[in-house]
Amino acid sequence: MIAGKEISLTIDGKPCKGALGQTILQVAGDNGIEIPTLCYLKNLSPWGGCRMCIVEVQGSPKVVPACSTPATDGSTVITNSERLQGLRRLTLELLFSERNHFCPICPMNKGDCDLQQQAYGFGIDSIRYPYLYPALLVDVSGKYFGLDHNRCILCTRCVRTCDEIEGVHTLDIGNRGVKNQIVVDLNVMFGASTTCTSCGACVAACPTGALFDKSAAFHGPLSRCQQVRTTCTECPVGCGLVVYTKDNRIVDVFGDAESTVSRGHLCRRGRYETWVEPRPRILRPMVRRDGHLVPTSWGDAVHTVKTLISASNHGQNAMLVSPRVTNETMRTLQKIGLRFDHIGMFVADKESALCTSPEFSTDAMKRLDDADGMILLGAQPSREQGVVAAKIRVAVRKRGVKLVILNSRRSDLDAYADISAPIVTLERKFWNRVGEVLGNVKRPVLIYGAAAMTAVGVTILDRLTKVLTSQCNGGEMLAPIQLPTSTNSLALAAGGVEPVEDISTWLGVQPVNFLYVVASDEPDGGARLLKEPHVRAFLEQIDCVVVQASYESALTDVARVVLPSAIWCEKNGSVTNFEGRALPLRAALAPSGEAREDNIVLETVFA
Amino acid sequence: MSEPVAAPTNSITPPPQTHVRSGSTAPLLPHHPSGDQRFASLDQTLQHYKFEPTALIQVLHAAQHLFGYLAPDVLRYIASAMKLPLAHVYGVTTFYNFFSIVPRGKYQIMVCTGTTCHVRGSATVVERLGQQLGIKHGETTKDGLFSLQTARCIGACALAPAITIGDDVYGKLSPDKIPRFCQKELKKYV
Repeated sequence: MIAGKEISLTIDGKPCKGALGQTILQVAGDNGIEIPTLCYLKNLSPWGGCRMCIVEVQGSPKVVPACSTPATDGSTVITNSERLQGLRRLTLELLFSERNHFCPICPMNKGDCDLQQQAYGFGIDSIRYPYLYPALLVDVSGKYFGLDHNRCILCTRCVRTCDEIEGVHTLDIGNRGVKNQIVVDLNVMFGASTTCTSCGACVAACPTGALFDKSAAFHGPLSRCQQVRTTCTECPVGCGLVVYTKDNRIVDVFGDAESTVSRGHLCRRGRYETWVEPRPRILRPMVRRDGHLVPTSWGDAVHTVKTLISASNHGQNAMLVSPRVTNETMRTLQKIGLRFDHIGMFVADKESALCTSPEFSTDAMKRLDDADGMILLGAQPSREQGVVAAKIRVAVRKRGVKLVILNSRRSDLDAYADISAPIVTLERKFWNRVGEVLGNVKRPVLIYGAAAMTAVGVTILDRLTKVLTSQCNGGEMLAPIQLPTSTNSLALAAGGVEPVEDISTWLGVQPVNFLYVVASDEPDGGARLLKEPHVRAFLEQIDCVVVQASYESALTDVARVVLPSAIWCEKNGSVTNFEGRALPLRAALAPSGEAREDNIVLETVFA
Repeated sequence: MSEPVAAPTNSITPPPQTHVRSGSTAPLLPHHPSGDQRFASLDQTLQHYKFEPTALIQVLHAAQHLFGYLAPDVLRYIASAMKLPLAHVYGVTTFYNFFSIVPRGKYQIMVCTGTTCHVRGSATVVERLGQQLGIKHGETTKDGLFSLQTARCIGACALAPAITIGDDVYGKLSPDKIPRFCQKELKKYV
């Protein structure tokens, strides 16, 4: 809202102060007066559809919705009267009579449903209107969540979230009148949607059980779960998470609205993949005996590792670390570093160039909100950093931001771009077009990722920087945003860990006969190290590999010793995101089986 | 009085070709892979409205005129050309009674159900027409010739109850006249 001049009004007899441009609901909320709402959701545009927030304004015979009526100076507002209560009850009764709201068989029963809470609040125990009992679809074709039209109250919170937060507008209202219904794309099933990113923001916004997480449904009400606020470690953005747990297992994961980075939004990876996808955990330390990995005790496993290290020749010990480890683990690594001749972290393709001069893009998320032109070079945010992609989509669709994409691979963002081209040496004509598109841009921002770090990419990067600095129409070019791919790679690089991209070359350069791999909770268990067949052959040949990982993988097949490490929701400590913010990790669960946090394992082994 | 009354003036014609901007920044559309020339016509409409999102309804009008109904493929084509979300295009299409997402007959029989026609028995007119054609309201005859629909008011109150078949208007069709009307007039369209 625009910060306007101060206004004063009386709400329920209480003198209240607000700013011009605020709605009655906002002023009341700021002054501690609660008005019931259903279709209103903070951070979304007001809809005024449910009529729960109706109030009386003195001098007006009609009741008005507080969420979409601007507060005016000197007005007197009543938020609670017999008339209003009667109308709100009526609204609720009509909602209940329209569709099939059978609470006992709803996953949101017992405390998670706004509609049910409102009905309890108004003491509704019977409905005066005939039920319509429409036969509506329950769409559970989506991978992570379902849509039960029977429980929908058409508040459009999901529609507005999908449009204004994720920016894809997969959902809308179709048909008319009593036949109104939420539609996915051209009225297809959720599972067949071509635009849905499965970010799950619609589910988080749904006030009833119409949209529900399949993995969380009927696992007990969230209101009775424990909540832990932590940070997502899937990518370098570092979105805030609220993890709901019960009996030491995850019930659901939502975005943390208080997170300064993501403000409650998440992408598919952080919201679902970490806990819904089945990944075989390593639960006990294992030692290879007679060609088979046999579960053993921590003491035995640690002893075996120590024996292996002392047996290996000095100068030939190497350690490879996942860039997902915490800052605390990095400090432990620095302490034990002397015991190893080479320590590297296995980063994503071409990412080592980003890490050689680690640069944090301070306040990058804010710059994405400020920019009126964006140039995306060699980054795939819709694949890697979903929340950044959402910001870009919203910027293009809602603020008319100009978008130029230069990428080697296509992505769904291309559909939003004014120009989308591969990264190759580009001709003059092309640059003229870029100049044309960015002609009126005043605050352009350059976002570049790992794939920009090629010879051609860097040339283009320089060229773009020149073009943008020279033509900003009196504005200024915002500081470029460096978008790495791996979670904590920049902080690790800043801490002195050498980025390793090409494992086979790295292993070939130095004589290695003992390799310790900290794969941590890499989703693939670190198996990408074995991408090239001769790396696998080499590791099998030295037969002296220790793997510290959370998930079973091809890598554990070549290990002499396997040590179980904790996953994202079992870790304490901190990670540093691409803006340079140190974000806290708080354990939501006790480690499964005998798994331990990475730094504790390292300290035990190298004590 | 069952003769065609007046030539209609409300038919939707694609905008004239002269309005197509050349050398503008409007994106050039590739030819539709099906080779269907109607898409080329639709492109002209899109270019005429400069791909402005606010022109969606006009574009849908033109598309329905060209294709007879708005198939998912056509909606997808329009959405991608105008850079509009699919769900938004679907929402607008299904909001308006005029747009159809299912194939319709060659001729639309539109029964006016505005106030005057209603008073003069348009409900019975719909029923009797349905009986004669062997279809219900909103359906299409098996031979694909006629669809039976209603409209709130076609602005021919003096002729109540009035119906339109394609672009022709027929007035003062009291329910009793329907069987004879069908026998006599519908043949013209076969």
